[in-house]
Amino acid sequence: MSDNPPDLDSDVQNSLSELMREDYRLLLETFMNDAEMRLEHLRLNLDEQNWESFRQTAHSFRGSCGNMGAIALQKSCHLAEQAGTAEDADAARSAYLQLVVLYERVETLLHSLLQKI
Amino acid sequence: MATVDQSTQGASPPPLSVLKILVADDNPADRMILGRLVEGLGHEVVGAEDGREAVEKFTANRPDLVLMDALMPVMDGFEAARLIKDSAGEDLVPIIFLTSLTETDALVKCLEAGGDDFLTKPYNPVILKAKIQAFNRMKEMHKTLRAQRDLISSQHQRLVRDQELAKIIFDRVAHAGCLSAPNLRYLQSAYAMFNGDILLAAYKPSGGMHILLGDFTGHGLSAAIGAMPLAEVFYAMSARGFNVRDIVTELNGKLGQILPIGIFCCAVLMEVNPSKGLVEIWNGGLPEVLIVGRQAELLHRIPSTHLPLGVANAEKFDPNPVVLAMAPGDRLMCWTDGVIESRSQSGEQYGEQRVIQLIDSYAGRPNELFDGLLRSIEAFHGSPEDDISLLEMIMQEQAPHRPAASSLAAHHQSAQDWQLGYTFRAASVRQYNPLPFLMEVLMEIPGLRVHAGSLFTILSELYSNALEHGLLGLESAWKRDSEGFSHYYIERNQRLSSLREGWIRVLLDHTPTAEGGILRIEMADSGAGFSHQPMAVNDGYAGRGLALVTALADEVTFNTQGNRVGVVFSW
Amino acid sequence: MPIQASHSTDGQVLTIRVSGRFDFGAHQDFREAYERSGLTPQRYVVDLQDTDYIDSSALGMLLLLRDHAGGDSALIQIVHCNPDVRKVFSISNFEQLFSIE
Repeated sequence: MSDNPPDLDSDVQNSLSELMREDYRLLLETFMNDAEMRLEHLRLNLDEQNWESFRQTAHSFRGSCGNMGAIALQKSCHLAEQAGTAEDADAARSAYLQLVVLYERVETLLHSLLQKI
Repeated sequence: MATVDQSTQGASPPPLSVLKILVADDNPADRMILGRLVEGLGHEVVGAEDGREAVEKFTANRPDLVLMDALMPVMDGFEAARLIKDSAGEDLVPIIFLTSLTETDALVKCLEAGGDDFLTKPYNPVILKAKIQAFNRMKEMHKTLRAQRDLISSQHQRLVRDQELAKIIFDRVAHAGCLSAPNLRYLQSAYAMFNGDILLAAYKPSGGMHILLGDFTGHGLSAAIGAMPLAEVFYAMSARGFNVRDIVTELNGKLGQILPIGIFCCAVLMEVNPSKGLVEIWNGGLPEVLIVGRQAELLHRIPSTHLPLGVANAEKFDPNPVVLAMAPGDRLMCWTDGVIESRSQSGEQYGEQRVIQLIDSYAGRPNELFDGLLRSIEAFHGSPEDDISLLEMIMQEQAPHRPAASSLAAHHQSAQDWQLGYTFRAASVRQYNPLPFLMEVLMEIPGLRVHAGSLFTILSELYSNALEHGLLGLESAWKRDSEGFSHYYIERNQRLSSLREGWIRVLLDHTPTAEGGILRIEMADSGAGFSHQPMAVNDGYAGRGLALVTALADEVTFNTQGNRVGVVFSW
Repeated sequence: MPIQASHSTDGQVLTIRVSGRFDFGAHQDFREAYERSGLTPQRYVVDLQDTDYIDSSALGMLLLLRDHAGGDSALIQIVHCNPDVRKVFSISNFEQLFSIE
């Protein structure tokens, strides 16, 4: 698994911390709230087979993952987006499950960052 | 309104002004990051969570720049961009789409919706700063251009309005005359006035008309403005009975006095006299005037032989016209240099030779000549010429007629019972034309005003007889053919300018009657009298003058020596 | 609209050469050609060897030069006119004011 992208790019987090200063904590919390909401949306869309909404949610999630330096999540979002476009239920489910796993790891990392502030 | 000079700063970027920037993104984390990046560059941020809010915030805050996510709930970025562009109107509001889109057709969709650029996630602060600066400069430039455009357009409108007003005034002054006379045909292109062209025509009090075609140097208002005094002098003097020499001398003096050096007026001034079948032409600086016959055959070419008006000083100025016979139905054509200088696409000039050839080709069809010439120039030039003035005058047959007496009987006044005598000696005969002065005296009698034309004809015929035969000793027999004619008038001018002795005496005697009055005119001169010459009434061109007088007056008598003539005119 | 002015070595003659079209566009340059030089030449030569075309504003400019050079006492030769240019001078009877060759 050495080829796999990092869960969280620490350089990105450093510059975000520098940019946001006292709002850095708020940014992390906002991201985590939003991420949980997006994952919940994706699960519902999957159940309802609402592929357009699935694609859009994944797309939007991809954007913020990119900005946060959550590279692995960002890549999986892209896979989910493509599955939504193709209306491929299996690929979508697999992408979703991957996102859940990856997010748990990112969330742990973010929490540890929060404690350092 | 912004000031106009930022764009002139060129290479060094202007100090970055504080902009108001709308950041529209449904993703709160992204919005926070971008908002902070923008604030970090010193700008003010207005946030929006979806497309509809973006449009509302745009309307309320009028930001300078919009950073907007393409895919948003409620209303997507494409629709929002359209509405924002509509609402911005003429203002340039750059919209930069925020996107993690990579597909080309999605990017195209952004452009079609009015997007000006893209910014991809994750955001790069350096690129963001560069884009904001670039669009800010573009916006400033747009503002500058618009301010300049508005300025130019308002000045242009003012200029157009000024020109319209000037044109109204010009038309009132210039077209006060008789350009609509049935024997005249003319064309003046729409911008002729601002090319400095002028065309005037006036009926003379004795019948016939004066026509002036002029072309001032230069273009625009300065070229048009000299036309005002020109027209005024022309109409005033023509109406008062002055002849070509008098008018052209006064015009030259007047223009010389008011026009700056380097501005002048090329002109043709003509006097058309149908009752005598004569035309007098003074050409200073315009192309040849042409006279064609009833079969469109070329009869005369009258080149410019004088300096343009407003150039020569009084001593150098030569006011003498060429005098030519014109039969009824003959045509005179003249134009400004726009006709012969009209150029083809390859830059070749139309030229006089083409005009002459064209006239040849219309042999037998003189009626079609005017239109034919216009068509030929248009075909040569490739489009209608916008810088020509063209005139055609057809010589009319005109029997002398006495105007009907006014139906309203004039009031009788004892002041109408008088006698006046004037003697004009050599110096004044040489330099002045006394006829307008005599006419003014006669016009003091209201009842005579309707007879002004007849009286002017009588006075001028008697006067020129006294002058030309009595004082200058010219032979009427010379005038039997058109060549002798030119000789006659050349000789007349030479002898007149060297006249040192002699006199012409005019006696005017008016007696009121119950119905009107009786005017007696006596014209005597110091010459030998014509008793030694055979009196030939109606002999070629020569006798027409006296024939006219006889037709207009009640009685014409001569003394035996033939140097005094008496005329009775009752009204 | 190249206009070149050159003085004879003794400074007595100013020659002004006009190339191309001699019309209103030449106004400024033509005027500068005789006003700028500090010298006061005895006479002027306007060389139209390379002039294709003149219009009535050029005639106006020549009148201004004539005025500058002393009006009726001005000594101005206009030389090397092509037939078209010559024609314009002839129509306007400028031979009466200038020596035209």
